[in-house]
Amino acid sequence: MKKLGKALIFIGILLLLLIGANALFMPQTDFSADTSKGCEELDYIVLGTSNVFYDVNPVVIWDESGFVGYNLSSEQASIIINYYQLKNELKRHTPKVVFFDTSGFQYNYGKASFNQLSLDKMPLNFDKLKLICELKEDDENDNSITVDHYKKINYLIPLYKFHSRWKEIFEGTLYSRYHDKYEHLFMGYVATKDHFVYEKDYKWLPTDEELGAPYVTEITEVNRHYFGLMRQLCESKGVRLVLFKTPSKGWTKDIHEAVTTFAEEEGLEFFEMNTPEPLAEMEIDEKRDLADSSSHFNVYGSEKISRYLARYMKQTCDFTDKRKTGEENPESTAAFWNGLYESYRFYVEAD
Amino acid sequence: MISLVSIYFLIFLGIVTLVYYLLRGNAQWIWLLASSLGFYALASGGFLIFVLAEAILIYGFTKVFETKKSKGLFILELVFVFGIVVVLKYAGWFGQGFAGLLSGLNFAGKTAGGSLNYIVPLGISYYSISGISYSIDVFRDKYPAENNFAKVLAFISFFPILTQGPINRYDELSEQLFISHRFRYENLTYGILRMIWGFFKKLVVAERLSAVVGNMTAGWQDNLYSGGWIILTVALCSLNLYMDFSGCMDIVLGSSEILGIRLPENFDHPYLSKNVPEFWRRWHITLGAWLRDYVMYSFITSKPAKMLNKKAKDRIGRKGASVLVTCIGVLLVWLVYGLWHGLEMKYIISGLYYAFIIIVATVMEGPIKKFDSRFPKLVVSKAYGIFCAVRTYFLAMIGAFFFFMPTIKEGMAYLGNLFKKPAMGLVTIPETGIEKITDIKLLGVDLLDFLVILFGVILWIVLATLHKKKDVRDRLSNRNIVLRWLIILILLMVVIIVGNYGGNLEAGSFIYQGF
Repeated sequence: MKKLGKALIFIGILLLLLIGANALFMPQTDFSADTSKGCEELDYIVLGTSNVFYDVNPVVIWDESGFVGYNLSSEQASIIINYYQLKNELKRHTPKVVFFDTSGFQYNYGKASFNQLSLDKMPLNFDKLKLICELKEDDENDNSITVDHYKKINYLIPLYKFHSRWKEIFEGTLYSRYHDKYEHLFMGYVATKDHFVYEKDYKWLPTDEELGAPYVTEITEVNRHYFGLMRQLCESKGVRLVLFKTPSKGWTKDIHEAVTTFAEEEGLEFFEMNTPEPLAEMEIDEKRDLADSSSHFNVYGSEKISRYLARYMKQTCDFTDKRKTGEENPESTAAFWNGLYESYRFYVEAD
Repeated sequence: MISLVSIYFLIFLGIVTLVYYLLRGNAQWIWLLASSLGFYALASGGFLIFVLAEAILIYGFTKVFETKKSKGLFILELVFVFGIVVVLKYAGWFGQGFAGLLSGLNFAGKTAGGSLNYIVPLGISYYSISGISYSIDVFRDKYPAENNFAKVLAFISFFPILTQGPINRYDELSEQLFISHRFRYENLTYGILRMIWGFFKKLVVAERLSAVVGNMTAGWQDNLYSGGWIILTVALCSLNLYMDFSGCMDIVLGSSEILGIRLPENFDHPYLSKNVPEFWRRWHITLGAWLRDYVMYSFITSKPAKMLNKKAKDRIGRKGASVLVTCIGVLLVWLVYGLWHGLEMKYIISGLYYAFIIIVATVMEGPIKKFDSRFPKLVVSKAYGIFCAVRTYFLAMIGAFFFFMPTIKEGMAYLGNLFKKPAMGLVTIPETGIEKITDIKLLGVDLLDFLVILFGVILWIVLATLHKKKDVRDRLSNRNIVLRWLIILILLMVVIIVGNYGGNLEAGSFIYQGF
């Protein structure tokens, strides 16, 4: 028994060291830190893929409407990942509305490399373990579903992957942000002033054939299942679920029609921004507003999208404008969000 | 795919060990058999069928040998067993169609060179010659044939040894494999310690050395390296091979020790050897012993060898005849050694190279003894000992160097630069701007990786020196608990953090796994 006790103490010390090393080598991001302040009473959460974290800026929505929310999106997040992200978030916050970006319908389980990025942002708990068990991946070439158990170790123990950053201790970059492009974060929104112009004409809602159809273009069983769970989750918490899609070249006519039909079947709102009317209203300028070839918008484009979404919220959601509520009090929500907006404007206007 | 350096192997070993010690009597080895077959199926997929086929062949033939000692049947068995090895290892030689068929049948074997030419089922050379040694022993009446087929299968497929040995003898392994083992805390801790050391050698040192060696040997075409860099390459190739192979052996022997089964050692400080024959008694010991007992012994006791000895006696005397027969035996042994690694000229030449050195040492035995008796003080001096060890190191390792080169011709061209541009100086590489001969970039790793290799090699030398006098694990267990745990935890964390594995740094397979 004495030896068993010693062995257990040794394992305990080893586990502590591993947890410490895991924390040390995990890339630093502000994604989760952003949501801890100023969001005590949430109006909304925006959930989706990188299209959304480049396109929807909660700070601009605040400026336009006085509504409070944050962006909970991550790179190419599939619906299963969105579901578990939301499940985690609804433990600490209960927003009135969840705006769900429908880009996730274009994948089944998503690519492993992107899944890793999403999972790294999630705290280790029972839900994360469940997600790791259920998660498969889309083949890089043909979107067929595969399982690589080796990758699951990376999902579960980030140290397994990130221990290779040990050299950064000597290079002084261990605590730098994961990626330079995530340097300017505003409540989950990734601000960038990058500028990209397509050589060819930028066409909205292209057909699969025109785009080369690299994505899933129908509502698959996997997505029906996890979307169903997400919907049940929202209903059980009394949260309204709204589907929306920001403008994107990768959003084809086929998947647009599939999601429109699906939303009708489910009796859900689908706020589609890729059709001519909203595009005209937003005054998107493809020559100025895009940040890269993946249809991510820069600050100029995202501001248009965010203000348009804010106006939609004003029309369809029963949120209170908090801009004039106790703004003199430096501890108030209004003061906090006004400060954020000033920081954002400073970033946009700086050379 | 499960590999010895994956977290899945650790999980697998943990489950196997837990269940193993909950069982008693025959259930223990039956559990090991089931685990071994499971391990092989996970590691090599459909190739499991060849393990079963070889076990059936060996079991069947040995049962026949009990009543009928027929050399013809014995040769037939060799043809069958080695036929399977040759067909699978050289599937490409039988045409891409055959190789494709094997691949299509989901035989998830290793491929080398990105083609289907070499579909090498995991451990096939190792379990085949272990099985053959059992068969020869039965044929020679060393012990009776095993009646229980499952026991033969358990011997051939014992999972720790499937990756790259060590090569076992049935009488030695069965004594431990088929008895009941009670849990012993010392077996667990000693086994884990040895495994940690193996992971350190493989993941921290060998994986980085592989990058260096890969980079330096790849430069042969452009004549990037010359003079001292060539010597360094040869030295590092051998060190890489040692760290990789002995690291694997530490993991294998450690995991087996946890189960209470002590496997034979494959290395005994080979770099301290004073001459090449001694080196080969300390390097890949179980293969050397196998070649000695089953090739050399078979040849020397064969009728042709006896006849040759008799005829040679009349012409060159008794001693000369003995030397002649021994030399032919050595040649045969090293030819088999080369062929065991592969049907490529570089392996055969490498084997014959060692044969040449050992034959020279055999022929020169008389003059060397005279030299020793004439300069007794010099022979026992430390300086002479170091000189002999360094000389042996390079003589032995030139052969290993060719393993890392595509062909003998390219290896010779690479070595040729040693004489063409004698000096550490090298050709300036305009693309990289490397001009200084001391530039660390020439190794193909950065300074931190280089320092890790250096630290690993120094630690290995220190521990090997200490271990030669007394098992390092015994020394450690005598220390107070704080120091002991501190040392173990530091080593473990170094492996976990600095090791080359996971993410984009998947540990490569073992070098000897492909043979």
